[in-house]
Amino acid sequence: MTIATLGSLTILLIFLMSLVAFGLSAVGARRRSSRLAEAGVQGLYATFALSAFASSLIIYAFLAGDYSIQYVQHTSDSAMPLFYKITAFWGGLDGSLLFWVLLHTLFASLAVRSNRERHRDLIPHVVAVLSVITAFFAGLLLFIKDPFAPYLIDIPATGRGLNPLLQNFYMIFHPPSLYLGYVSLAVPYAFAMAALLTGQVDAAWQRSVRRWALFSWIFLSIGLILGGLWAYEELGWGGYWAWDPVENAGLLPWFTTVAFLHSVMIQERRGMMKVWNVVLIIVSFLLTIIGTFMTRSGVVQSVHAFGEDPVLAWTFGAFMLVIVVFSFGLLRWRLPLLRARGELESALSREFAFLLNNWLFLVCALFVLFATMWPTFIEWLNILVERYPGALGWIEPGERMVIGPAFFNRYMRPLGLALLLLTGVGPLLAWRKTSAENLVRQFTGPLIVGAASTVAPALLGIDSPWGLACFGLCGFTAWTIVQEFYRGVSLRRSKRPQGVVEATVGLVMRARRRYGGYIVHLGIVLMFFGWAGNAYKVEKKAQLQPGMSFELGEYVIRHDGLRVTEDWQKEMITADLAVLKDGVVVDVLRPARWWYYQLPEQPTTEVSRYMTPSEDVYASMQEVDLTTGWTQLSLFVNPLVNWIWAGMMVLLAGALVCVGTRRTEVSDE
Amino acid sequence: MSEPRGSFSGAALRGAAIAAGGLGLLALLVFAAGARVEAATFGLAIAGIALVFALRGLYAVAYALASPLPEAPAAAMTLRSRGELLDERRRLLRALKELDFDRGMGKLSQADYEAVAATYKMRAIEVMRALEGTADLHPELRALLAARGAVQASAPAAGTTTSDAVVAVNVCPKCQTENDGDARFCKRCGAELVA
Repeated sequence: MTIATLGSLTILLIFLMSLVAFGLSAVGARRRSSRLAEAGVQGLYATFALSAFASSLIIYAFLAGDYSIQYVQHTSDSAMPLFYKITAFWGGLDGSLLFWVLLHTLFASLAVRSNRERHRDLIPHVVAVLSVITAFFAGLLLFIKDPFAPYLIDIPATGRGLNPLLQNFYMIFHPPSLYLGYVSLAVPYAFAMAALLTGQVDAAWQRSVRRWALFSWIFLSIGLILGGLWAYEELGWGGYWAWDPVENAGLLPWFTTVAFLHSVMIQERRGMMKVWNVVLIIVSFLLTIIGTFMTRSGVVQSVHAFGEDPVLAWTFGAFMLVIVVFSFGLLRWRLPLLRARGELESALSREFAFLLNNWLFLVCALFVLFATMWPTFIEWLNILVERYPGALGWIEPGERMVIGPAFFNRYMRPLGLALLLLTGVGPLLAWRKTSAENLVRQFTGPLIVGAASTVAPALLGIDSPWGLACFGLCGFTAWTIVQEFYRGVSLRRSKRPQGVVEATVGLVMRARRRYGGYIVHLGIVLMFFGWAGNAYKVEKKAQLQPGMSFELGEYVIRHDGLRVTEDWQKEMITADLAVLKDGVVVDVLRPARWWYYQLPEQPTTEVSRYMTPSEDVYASMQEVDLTTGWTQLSLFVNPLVNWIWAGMMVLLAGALVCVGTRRTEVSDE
Repeated sequence: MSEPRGSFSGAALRGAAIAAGGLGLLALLVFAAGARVEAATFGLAIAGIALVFALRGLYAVAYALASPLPEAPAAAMTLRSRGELLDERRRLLRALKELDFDRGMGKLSQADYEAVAATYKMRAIEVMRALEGTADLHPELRALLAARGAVQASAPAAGTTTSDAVVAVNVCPKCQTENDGDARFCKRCGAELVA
């Protein structure tokens, strides 16, 4: 038996096993039979074991260079380094769907394993929902996109190789990280559905779910930032975020997960917003499916889309419809159980700030979703009009258009700043109602700092209103965080004499979720600080010959010559650019263009940058003429850009504090 | 239902045995048969392990279906569920502390604090009682039932009086920590409290 046959057979088994697991747990839940429920759980574990086997088979095929399998032939060649051979597993559509199934079954098994005693009644329902999702993706693999599909005739002797653009460190970890975030959101969804099905809609399901949601959110964040770094270092257009549909697809569930992580706190403290939380979980899960669909079906034109595939599009469409009808139908049915206990008493309360935060995040998600899908929607309308003239009456859909970054920025900038403002205001407000003297006590410091940090950059000559607003809000929010820490530490020290450091560590460790959250907020502030730099970025195109100089903001760029080198994989042309500040050479940039032998028509751009805390000097080479030495360069001064990456690190550190680890939890007992 | 799932050490032992067997086989191939070891060999070995794992999973389904389980799980507490309860207790206690802190920072009114803390405390008491494994009724519930004449107010109910003490505060004479009204020992220093 060939690897291809064995692999296809395994996928068939995954599909059948997930249906069996669904059947067993559905019947088990209905008859309240713990025997059937147990068999369903074992079935879920078995689908994971089978997916692991299928994945190891495809990795083996990559390592052994089995080019009779189409997918292996398309995405690898024998000369690729070992590391890329393994990661080519998720380098294309078919393999990444198998990777989806592997991660999904892994998470499903972990979630069921760690909750099976605590929520005995929920588990069969959870297993059933998770198994249906497995069955859908396994079905896709089986019927539409079999990664083990072999060449029946004319088996090629060599592989085509992975796209050189994807042979990059960030690109290896960006997709799996986004995937981890996407896939793990199925677990909260399954628990929410199980809670609705059983009618146990108290806080119990959320305790299991909150950590998972946080976990998904961390991986989505890592995935997004790695994608940004990749774009910044590899694509060479001087930026990191272009509102590309694939980037947006990762951002959408990120928004709704943040909203959920906040609003779940209101439910905990005040027993409000129960329906809303369920809706957020459903929407987040739906958005991960839409995201997968957008990135993987090629419906939305983008640099990532792997080609048009109507069958895949229809299948996904049907699946999404099923999810919507099932989830919201269930929600409608259980609505009486989800009535809120508390109610909103004042606009000056924590609850109201959270509510606003939720609305804004949802608006962000919907705006990005519609702006991303709009061109596709117009195209569908056009097709409709073409096939059935007069179907829409007098409406003319018009041409398919491109919605560019400028459009997104115009609307997302105020939304983002409003959210930053809430980040500062929210933690200062008390639950239920904030009294007047409390208001003064909480807001005086942050307002002064905020005003100072608006005026200071204005005096330094920054005149962009958005930039100034952003700096001001960063100062305001940062100070609220400092104040919260300061007051918390003083409260601790007033109760028991101890050092400042000890009190701070104790504070963070004791109220991990809250202070972890503040650290995350600090990371967000740093990232906004980095974005504010866009207000005075310098962007130039230059046409230089060796020996010529070019003025770029405060810097002078001097072209010191071109070099041609080659290795076994590619030919490289590198320019040496000296960066001068006040007449002194501070660094030498080496932007390059690489021509891979396997894909000579698609040269890659290798960016070079001079990094300082206050700015990046960034150079990428567009065109080069070796005979005359004319080099066309894109040159940028990107102020404060490195603060974004630093902010991301802070954000992740804060998120890890929130998650906590089992070991530290045990040790503080 | 312990066989295919096994206790933790049993599963680890089996896993180690399988891994050792695989390594032995690999060594045999390399040294005795003179096979060439490259990355793909390891890929194949991993695939083999995954296959064993997958077959075991399929077997576990059949085993679970074949073995008649008691329809209502017995009260006997497994190690796992005990761990989960401990976990839950830890989380509840931490949530209570956080709540207390919130009140200290002026973010939560006294009334709200009491309302939320009461639910956490009830849950914590339930968990602790489950951990102790006592099957008898909660003292408060017993008192309530006794008042309605359903159960005789027997000896254990007399010792603990918890009914109306939730709101009151009991300050420790040694370290001045505020303790709940029904506490008998200080939660910080352990000194006995005067009721």
